[in-house]
Amino acid sequence: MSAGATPTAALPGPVTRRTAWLAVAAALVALGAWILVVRAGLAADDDPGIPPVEVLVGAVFFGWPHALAAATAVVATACAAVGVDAPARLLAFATSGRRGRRDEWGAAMRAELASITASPRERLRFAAGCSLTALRRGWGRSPWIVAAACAPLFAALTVALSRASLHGSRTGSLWAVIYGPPQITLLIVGFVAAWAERSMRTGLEHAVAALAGILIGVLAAAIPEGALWAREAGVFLLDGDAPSTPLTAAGGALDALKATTLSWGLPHWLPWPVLGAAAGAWLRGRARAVT
Amino acid sequence: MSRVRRPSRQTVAVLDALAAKASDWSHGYDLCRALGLKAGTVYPILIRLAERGYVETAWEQDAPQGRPPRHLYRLSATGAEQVRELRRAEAQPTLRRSRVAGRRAPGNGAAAGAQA
Repeated sequence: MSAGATPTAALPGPVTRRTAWLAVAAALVALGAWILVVRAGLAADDDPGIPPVEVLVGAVFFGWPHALAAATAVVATACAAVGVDAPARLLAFATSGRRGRRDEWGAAMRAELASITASPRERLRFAAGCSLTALRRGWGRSPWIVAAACAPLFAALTVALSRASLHGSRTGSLWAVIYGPPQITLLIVGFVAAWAERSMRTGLEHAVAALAGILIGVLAAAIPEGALWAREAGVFLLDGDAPSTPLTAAGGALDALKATTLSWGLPHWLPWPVLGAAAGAWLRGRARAVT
Repeated sequence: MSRVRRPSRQTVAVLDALAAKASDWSHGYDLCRALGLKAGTVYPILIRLAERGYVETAWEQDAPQGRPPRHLYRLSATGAEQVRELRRAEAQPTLRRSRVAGRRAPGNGAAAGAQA
């Protein structure tokens, strides 16, 4: 540890009226995107006669986590990015939410930037370089351990449910794996990590690593299982539906890939790291304020 | 003698710059400017060198009003030893090369033959 007193950590800024409006706008943009997705989905299903209210209900049903996460991300970013100018705000954001020695290096970079009065361009160059360093080096080892644990866990879950369903009701099993368990896992991982370290960033790093692990695990198992279901049952692994034309093994594998990455998996997982991390950091902050 | 792993050119440049200032403290931005390197190159090197104990760090004691104290860097005793080690390792291949070149020189070859 450095000799002398460490400067105080960068304190989060207040939630201003402008930030609140930006958060509302971000939530509305997310919901608007979901309206387009639901409408496109219904049109693809040859069901364009659905009333707009039902489209809106569908968008809110599927999109509320995205809207909440978008608003949360805007507030968290605005509160972390505090500074006298754009370079200072950039570096404050990149170095926020660190603990221990990592926070000390962040403070060192911020203090150095404060001493640079050469030109705005020079300040921006310095801040950009330091921000890259802070973002690259901040992760530590534990997020990778989380990712390494999630991948085999979800691969095993995918295979187990697939085989159980294939030798039983044959109603498909992938939907049960990719819609629910990942969201809960990401929420818990983000929450616990953020709570333990009193840092939304730490929660986010762990949950994003968990998301990567889950994606790899599910894909590694679902693609061959999708091909197996096509060969043995002629139906999709996702939900046990039979296509209008005979299903090839490649078609079964491709459907599992698309379901995991495009339609039901990844897009629905994305908000949960943000929500878990924000909830953990916020509740820990409240708990500390109370005690 | 322990085998010294050759650090990157930029790391050597940072070590040399710190060694040139002996026991005086340096600032991160000044190092960037002096070496013509970006902050994204210099800071990871400083962090790594500090973690390995080659660089001592401290906070400025008398920072002017309205500006946070700056972080200061200088070579530790281990770092200074590392620089000496690097310079020795740098000099050795040169010596070996010059010996080899000397042996291959026509005049020396004749002398070697005469000695044999």
